[in-house]
Amino acid sequence: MTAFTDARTLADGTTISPDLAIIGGGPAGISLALALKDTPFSILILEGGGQEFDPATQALYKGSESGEPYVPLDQGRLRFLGGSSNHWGGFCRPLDPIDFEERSWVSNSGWPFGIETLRPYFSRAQALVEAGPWLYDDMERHLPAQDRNAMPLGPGGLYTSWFQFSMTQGGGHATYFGQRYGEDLKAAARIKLWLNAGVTNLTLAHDAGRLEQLSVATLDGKRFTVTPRFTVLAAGAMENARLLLASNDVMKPGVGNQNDLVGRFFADHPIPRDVGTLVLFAGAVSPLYWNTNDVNGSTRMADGTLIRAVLSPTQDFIRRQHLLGSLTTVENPVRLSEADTAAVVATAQALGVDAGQARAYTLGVGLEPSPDPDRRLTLTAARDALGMPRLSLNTTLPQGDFLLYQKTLRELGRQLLASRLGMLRLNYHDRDGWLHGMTSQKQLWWGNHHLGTTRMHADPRRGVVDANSKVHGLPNLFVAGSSVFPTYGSSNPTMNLLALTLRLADHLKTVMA
Amino acid sequence: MMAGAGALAAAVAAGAVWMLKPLRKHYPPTPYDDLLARLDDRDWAAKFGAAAQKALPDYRPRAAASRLRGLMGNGTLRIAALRDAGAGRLVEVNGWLVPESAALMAALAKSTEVRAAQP
Repeated sequence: MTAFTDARTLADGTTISPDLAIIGGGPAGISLALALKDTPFSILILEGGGQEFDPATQALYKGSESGEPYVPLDQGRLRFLGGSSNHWGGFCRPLDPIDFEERSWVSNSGWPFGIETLRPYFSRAQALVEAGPWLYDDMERHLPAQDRNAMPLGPGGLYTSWFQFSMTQGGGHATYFGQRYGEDLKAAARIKLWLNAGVTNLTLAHDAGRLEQLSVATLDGKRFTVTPRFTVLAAGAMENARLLLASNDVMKPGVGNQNDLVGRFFADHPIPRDVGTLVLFAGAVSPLYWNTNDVNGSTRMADGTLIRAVLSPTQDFIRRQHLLGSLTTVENPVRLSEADTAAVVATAQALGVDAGQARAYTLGVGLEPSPDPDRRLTLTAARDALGMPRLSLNTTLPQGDFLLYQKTLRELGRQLLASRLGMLRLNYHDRDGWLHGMTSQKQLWWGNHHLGTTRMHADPRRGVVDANSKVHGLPNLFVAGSSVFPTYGSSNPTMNLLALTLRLADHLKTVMA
Repeated sequence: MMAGAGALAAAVAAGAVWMLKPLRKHYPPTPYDDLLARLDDRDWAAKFGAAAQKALPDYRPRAAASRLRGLMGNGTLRIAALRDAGAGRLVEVNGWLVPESAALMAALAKSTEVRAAQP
């Protein structure tokens, strides 16, 4: 067993030369290291925080926000071992095949490969997040007979899809990667992990042909140098961009930023609340659809797997209607006004349905954002305690994204009527309405899924990393995590980014040998 | 977790109204009785009717009735409403997505309710 090293205990000026440096001890960094633990490579994980939350360390994440309301940059992520998994809600769902495709109606869409490239890694990613057996594609068959087809919508544009939930050994919360895999890291002979080791610069060779060294600093003033053969940035979409942009001593625009793409295309899933009101004529919605704030509230199958039903547009419907992805969830019970009750009774009567047991619920949604180069992270003149420039995020919320989702909701309403199950009210019709849905209940309703700042594309003019997650133009610098997602889908990213990370591990085994 | 207690209470009340209607509810004749006769309960439809009238563009009872006759033919409102839903012929009434025939019928029920209330 090798204990973690608190970098503050190291001698100032220490230099270390591992085969591989991994910057960031979150889900991607930890999973990458463990995937390589049986290789001959020496691995050093540089974690910017400690093993617990520390306000002074967390303050390194402070930044500024402009544009649409967004979560303060030091609140939507966590800087200690395990990273943002330490406040993860545990929602898991694979990306859909269409998420990888170039869609003519979505500018800058498409991955350099299809879902088939990731599929071989999904089962291992699913195991890492402890979300149970892979049931997403075949859930109905695994449900008790009485629970099947719980919302029989019939033919149309939406269908019931499924979340599975990460739940760590012993239960209680999602997989917090630092807690869950800390002992595995210590047991791996070739893996070292430095805590409180903030990487402050990526130094390129004079000809900018390769990454030569990493500068590391601690809050108590120590400075170290790491000279790895290979480096993987796995610090999250915000820090990955910050470090690349700030490392401008050789490449003035920043490392990998020769085409002004680093920090652009930042994305997160808007999750507006109360987007619609769902009425089911026959009574209460199946518990499979119930609102769950965390793993403890979701439906538990016989084998312990936690699941929740969600309404998704079919890929065919997305193609025909030129939509973006979305995952509509049934949220909270709601009392209807007298006027709304009249709408329900009159409509049920028209359909020949008894509404005597009708129940109403608010709907929420997780929306796929369209890629937008102006939704962007840039550096500011302000510096953090390690001397790093702080970030500024400009957020956009295109009205068009919401209007496309409105089409999806209309189709859901149509299907409910056509199947005589119920009906739906559209609660927002204009920008102010949608913004209300994003800011209601004194919260900012974003998924805190940071995506897209080092996007993947085979063409260096259109992407920061190539299809193998290697930074264009540099043979020994790679990026792991959802910052490489060039198009986002509506699924929660963690399990998907882990599949991508495991694929990167296989690639590194080849190129590092 | 159960919701819509208001809806439930109202709907149960509506059920009671439906049962009693044949015994005590009479309406004066209207030009649209061929349509309104296909409603189980005109009162509930009328309660929704004012909003439906506002949602239907340029609502005029005679034109609405003509449109509804075209949608329904000799069939039931249920068949027409399901056909509307299948074809995506929906009207948004105060945000509620409803079959066009249901909205037209509710609007007519409201129009005739006003007429019936006059001496």
